[in-house]
Amino acid sequence: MPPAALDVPSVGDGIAPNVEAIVARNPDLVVLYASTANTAAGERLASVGVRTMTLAMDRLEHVPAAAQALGEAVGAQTAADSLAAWFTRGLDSARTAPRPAAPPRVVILTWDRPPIVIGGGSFQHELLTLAGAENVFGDLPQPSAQVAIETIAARNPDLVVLLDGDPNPAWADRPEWQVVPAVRQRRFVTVRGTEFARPTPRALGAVRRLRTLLDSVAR
Amino acid sequence: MKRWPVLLGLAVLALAAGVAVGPADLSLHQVARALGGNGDTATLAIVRDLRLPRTLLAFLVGGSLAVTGAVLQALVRNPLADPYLLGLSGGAGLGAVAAIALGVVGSWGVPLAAAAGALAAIVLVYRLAVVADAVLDTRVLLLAGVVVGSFAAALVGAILALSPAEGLRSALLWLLGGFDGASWTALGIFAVYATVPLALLVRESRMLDLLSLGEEPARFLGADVEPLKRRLYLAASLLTAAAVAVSGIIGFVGLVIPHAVRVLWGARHGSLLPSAFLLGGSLLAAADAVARTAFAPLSLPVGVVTAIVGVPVFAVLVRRWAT
Repeated sequence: MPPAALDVPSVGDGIAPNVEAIVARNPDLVVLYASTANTAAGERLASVGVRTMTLAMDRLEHVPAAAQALGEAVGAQTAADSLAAWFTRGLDSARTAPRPAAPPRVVILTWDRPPIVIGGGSFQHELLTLAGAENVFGDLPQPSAQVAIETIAARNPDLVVLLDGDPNPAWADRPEWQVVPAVRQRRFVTVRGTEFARPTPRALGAVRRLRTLLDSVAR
Repeated sequence: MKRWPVLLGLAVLALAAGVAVGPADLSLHQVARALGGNGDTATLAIVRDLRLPRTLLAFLVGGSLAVTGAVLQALVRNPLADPYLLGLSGGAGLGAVAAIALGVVGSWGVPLAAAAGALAAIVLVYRLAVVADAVLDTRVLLLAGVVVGSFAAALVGAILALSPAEGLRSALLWLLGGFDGASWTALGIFAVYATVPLALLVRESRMLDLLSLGEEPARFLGADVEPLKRRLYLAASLLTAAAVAVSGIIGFVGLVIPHAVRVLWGARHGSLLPSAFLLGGSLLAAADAVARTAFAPLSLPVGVVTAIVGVPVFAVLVRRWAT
């Protein structure tokens, strides 16, 4: 999290937010995440005269679009256009970067019981692909999905990416997980940080970090 | 319908299906060879270390839940009773969610916390239901179970609302039930643990028949009603708590299987309990196979499958019984 962001006071959850707490701060603009759970909050804020805008922030392609929409809303179009252009160039550059001859086959595991993996519909899949790896569950259209351990074993990934930063997760000791060779041999790549939790301009740094980690494991 | 050939046939079919099918694309020949110890390492691991213990555990848990449901329905003389009615699901949920919110770690941390929550609920419900002269009032038991369950559910809601932990969503998924934690270790622990309460409940079959008539008639017919009720409640609850620890909360089996057996073959507990065990085990083992394979590579929560498959069957049975 950037230090400046830490100074921003919290007004509660971003999904189904506390409308009264927001109104009490008398904001000029409220930015809502595009979710049906936020529709009612948006309507209530609008009904009391608070200006709102809704942003989809699910994929990397949403980052430049969101920057430009925010820039227009707060009168910082030039800076927003510059950020959007920089991010788009960075994405293009990552997409055209040389890929390993044999990209590591990776599963991103977000929970162990039930096993929940990242599918092709998530920006985390995009981060992984841009970092030069192949998501073994990239064929799933969902952002994340519950699967059986047997499915992970059958797809036999080379590496397991863990997003909670714990290099020695307790579940990896459980007998049922020993069926997955990458777990049995502790071939884990662990990352932590909000840039891996939501699409942000820092996603380009996340791709570089992930690429470095994958390269170091490959060596 | 011949009872035992049908039930044993269903059990064999369900167990065979559980081992034969799965999201990994293995032929029946490969599965059969793996069961005999032949095949590549991955196939051996999938068949012998994943499918086999998972299917057996699903069978045992399904059987245990069905027996528990049958016993509790007789104990509280309420057809809506199921293994989780008496506050157990609320207690287990609170244990699991609190453990994750508090950062409890370890591979058995969440299951044990869920079992501890269920045990705490058992003790609390029991204390509330024991009235003057150590009499276990089954009407109060039912009400105490509902209020303790509701109280625990409210606390779970509060923790979820206040905690930023991202794992909490997954704690709820865990509570939806499933056998992703199945292993030979989990199967062994559950099998050893479940034997005692199951044996105790089956041994009380005759007394359950008497209790089904009502407490007064049971007393006149020679049942020592108060100690009997306590034994039944504690054995059924401890069995359910163990099931929660290995598989989360799986609805429907404990509620409906006993009724289905009663409709098909009668209500005498001497044969009702073993029948419910076989039918409940078969249903859950088969449902788990469906949950793993129907939308592969995606998995469904097994409780969703038990309800989708079982409710229409149960509705047909009830219609048949009513007419």
